[in-house]
Amino acid sequence: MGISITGVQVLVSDDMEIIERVLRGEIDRFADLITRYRQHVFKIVSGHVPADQAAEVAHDVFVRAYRSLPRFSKQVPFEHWLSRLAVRTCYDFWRARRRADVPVSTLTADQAGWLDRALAAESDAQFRDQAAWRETLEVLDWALAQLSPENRLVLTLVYLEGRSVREAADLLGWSLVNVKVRCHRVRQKLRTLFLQEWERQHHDRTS
Amino acid sequence: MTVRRKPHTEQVERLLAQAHRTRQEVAVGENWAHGIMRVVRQDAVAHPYSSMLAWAEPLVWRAAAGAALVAVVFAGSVVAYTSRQPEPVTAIWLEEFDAGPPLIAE
Repeated sequence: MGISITGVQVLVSDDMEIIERVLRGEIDRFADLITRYRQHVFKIVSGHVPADQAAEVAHDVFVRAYRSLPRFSKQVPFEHWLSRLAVRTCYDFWRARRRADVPVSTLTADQAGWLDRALAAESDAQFRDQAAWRETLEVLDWALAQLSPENRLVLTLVYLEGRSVREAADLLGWSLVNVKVRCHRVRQKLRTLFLQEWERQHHDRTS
Repeated sequence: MTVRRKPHTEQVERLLAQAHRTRQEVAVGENWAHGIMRVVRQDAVAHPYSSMLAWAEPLVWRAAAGAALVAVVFAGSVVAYTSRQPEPVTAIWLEEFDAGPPLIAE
């Protein structure tokens, strides 16, 4: 079920009215924005940060939104502005983690086995029957952990979520060229990472 | 024995993207939203923006634009005045704004 153009316009104008009222001091109206956009924010945040951190990051997104509300230009829909804020909050989350020097874990035997099978398989049909994607997600999280916060964001937005480079650049607030270059590099890096791991596994087995 | 051949990295990428789409969205209760509103209310008390900053920003911009206009008009009038005077304008000003005789007699 889609929302009609008129429906979107009503929603957008309604958002503006709520924002005006919050800015005039009716703080409790901010709860309406939370109710309206919590699902949208959670959808973005869940794709970028670990599940056990998503609620806290989404919380930060809304608190930042409240603090930045006077700077909301009203030239873009609130939803779009909030999406940018959500992506940048996720970026800050990983930057803070990077600073905290969280150790990068290595692949377990099961995860390495999955990677080996996936790299050797002729098609991905045999993986579709797997009821759980647990191992796949674990390998994905392992690979993402090897990347810088910038590369992680670009990879997730463009390759995992299928957004256009322009859209990713807009959400990140970076130039189109910057995102394009990073896209190319991160893909190369990911391939190198998988091949190195594959080589390592085979070397361990043969030696 | 595993047969070594060229690994299919594109396939791994495709599988990872498919797995990424299966990530579950986190469900939170009403307390989560109440927690945000609690922070927002505290923030509103500590740094109220509605009564001060909302109208202050356009006012600052207007004042800055007005000051820039006055500066341009002043600079223009100085240029126009200088072009009509044979002496350098600073010399005229120095005479007009003469500080007078020194307080300590020589």
